[in-house]
Amino acid sequence: MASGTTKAAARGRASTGPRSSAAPNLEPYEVFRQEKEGDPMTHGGSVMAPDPELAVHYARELYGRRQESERLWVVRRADVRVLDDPDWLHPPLDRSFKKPGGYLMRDKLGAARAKAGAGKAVSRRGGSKPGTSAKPGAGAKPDAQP
Amino acid sequence: MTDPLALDPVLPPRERSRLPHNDPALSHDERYAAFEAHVTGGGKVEATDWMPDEYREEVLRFVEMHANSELMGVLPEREWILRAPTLRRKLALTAKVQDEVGHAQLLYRVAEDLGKPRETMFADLLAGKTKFHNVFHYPTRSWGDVGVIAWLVDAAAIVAQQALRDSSYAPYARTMRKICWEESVHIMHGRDVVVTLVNGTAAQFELVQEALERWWGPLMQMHGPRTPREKDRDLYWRIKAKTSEELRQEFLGIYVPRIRELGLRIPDPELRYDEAAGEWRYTEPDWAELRAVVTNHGPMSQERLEFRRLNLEQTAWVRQGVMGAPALAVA
Amino acid sequence: MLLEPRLREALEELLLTLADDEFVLGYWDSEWTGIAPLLEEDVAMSSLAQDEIGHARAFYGLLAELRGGDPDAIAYDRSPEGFRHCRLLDHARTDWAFTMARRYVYDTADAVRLAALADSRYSPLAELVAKIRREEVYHLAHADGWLRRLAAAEGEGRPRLEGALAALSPDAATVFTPLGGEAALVKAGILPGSMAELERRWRDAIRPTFATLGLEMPGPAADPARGRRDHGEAFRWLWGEFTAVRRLDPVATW
Repeated sequence: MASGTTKAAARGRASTGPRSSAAPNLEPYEVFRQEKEGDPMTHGGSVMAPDPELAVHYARELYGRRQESERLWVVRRADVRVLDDPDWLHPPLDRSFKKPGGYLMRDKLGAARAKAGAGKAVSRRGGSKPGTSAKPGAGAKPDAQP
Repeated sequence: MTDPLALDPVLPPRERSRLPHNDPALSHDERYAAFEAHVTGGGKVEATDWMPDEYREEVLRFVEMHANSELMGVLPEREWILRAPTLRRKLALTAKVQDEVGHAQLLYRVAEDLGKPRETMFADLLAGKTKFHNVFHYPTRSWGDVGVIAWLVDAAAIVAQQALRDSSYAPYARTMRKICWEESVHIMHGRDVVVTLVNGTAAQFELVQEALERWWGPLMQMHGPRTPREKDRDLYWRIKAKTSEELRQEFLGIYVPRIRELGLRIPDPELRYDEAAGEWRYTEPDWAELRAVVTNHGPMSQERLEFRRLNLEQTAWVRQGVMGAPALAVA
Repeated sequence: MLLEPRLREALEELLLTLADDEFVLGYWDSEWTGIAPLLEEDVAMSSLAQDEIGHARAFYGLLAELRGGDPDAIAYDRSPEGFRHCRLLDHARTDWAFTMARRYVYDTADAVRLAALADSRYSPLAELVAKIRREEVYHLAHADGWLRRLAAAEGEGRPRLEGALAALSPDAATVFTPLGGEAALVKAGILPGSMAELERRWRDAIRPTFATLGLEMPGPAADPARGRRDHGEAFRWLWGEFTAVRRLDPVATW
């Protein structure tokens, strides 16, 4: 076989015909696409197809025939697990310790600076004792760098 | 329920799970009020959200008519696929009609995900229970029509479609964004065909002039009669964003100068821009004609519906036996 | 590559058969645009048809480089008798089973033809064929899938497929109709393999699939010498359609 086509032809052969002996079932397949290299996969839409092989052909047609996609994921809608339960995703008890916005340090920082300023005579070098240094950490204020 | 609709929502994540209308603990009236406030305030709706019947039915009617129009719109143009006079025109026209089929697919999918199977929508279309846009009820007579349709009919459609890109029904809005991106090529192709004819022989110029004279009336009717903003339910629910008249004015503003600059005559002696009023004046379109046509009394309505019916019958064996579609009777 | 007149003539004939095959098949299959069995399949089928026309355009382009003229004129400005597509493509698109059966037969035969031409010593042809073969991978996957799907189908699918293959059988091998100047082309390495040899390879390639699916192999071509001539009513109708606008004014710009 001429060079350059072997890999492509093998890929083509691998997707010939309905592989499973399952009866055809016209159902929706979700299509995810990658716009350009490095982009995340995003939902494009869906196609009806009788089997996964034709679903891939149709996904290519509806979401890739203009060479507008780098990659497509095609998955049976029935196989997609959905989580949208608010008790799982937004449970009621406080979880602010998990978010940057949960750390409000303005007053504490103010106090720490004031305290450090009062002892200015202390050498700048090695002036911090364990437990008293303000660690750079996630915070909503300009001093805090992530 | 493993229903993965709305996987790429328009809403910011923080808002999604807190929509009051999705709370089954509330009464119907409370949910309706919450939904109404949400949508009229610019909020979006996904297929998996709770919706009042009124909204669901309105969206379905709107999307279904749009889908039907793409499906039927293919028929006037596909005759010319075989007759295209150069290889490049053949490719361009085939690709253009293919796009319309693709748009039908996208739109029927949106409607299907609201709960109505495709085969039922086809049956309703053939039975005259649902409609398709007026322009697709008229005959095509020459290659001139191909240019006029691809340029001006598509342009009028795009003006409407661009105003739908921010529809409250998010799956439809996303589809409209994809469609608008894809349609831009059609107008280029159509205009190219028209300009080529205009630059050609006298006979070629006449082809497009004559086609324009036949299509101008339907084009002016296409966006529909003027309706007062406050009475338009599609506007209220933000399914669409502009009135019929706003769309028509927009179309005229862009395309009348472009038609006239080619030396083509628009067959309306009243057509002019009224500077003082800031709008286009024109002969009142024949709304009786529009009503008759969209209720399937247009010159090609029955023939095209019959063509579709026959085509669906002839291909039913493929959908049902080979592709595993449920067996639903086609009217 | 320097071509003496008879070799050049033989090459032009070869290119014309390649171009006309793709042109006519593309035309028949483009008819499905808007009326295929499923909207999704409609879009797919239209892409396949556009690819064929694109391949035809490229082959007419090679022909235009050799003999002058422009591809559109070569394609459109002929009587029906001037076409050199194979009789397999004289049939109208008929029904979905026929279209899929004919695509399978044509695409697998064309694949063998293209595989040989990939090594052609006429490098413009070899280069073009290399690109076309990459597009054909998609076509072969689609055709093979549909053959299997129809063969395994309940209801009308299988009988329609068998009927289609039977109707095609006398014309299936006309893709490999011997060319007038074939001997010279083979000798010059422009056509690496006689049509008879390519037909053998084609039959060997599809036999396992037909055996697995329990389908009857296409027979030998009826009247092989006329395999690219004597185009019938269906093609004449098609010719009338695809020349209709152009004949209004063949010298105008469209």
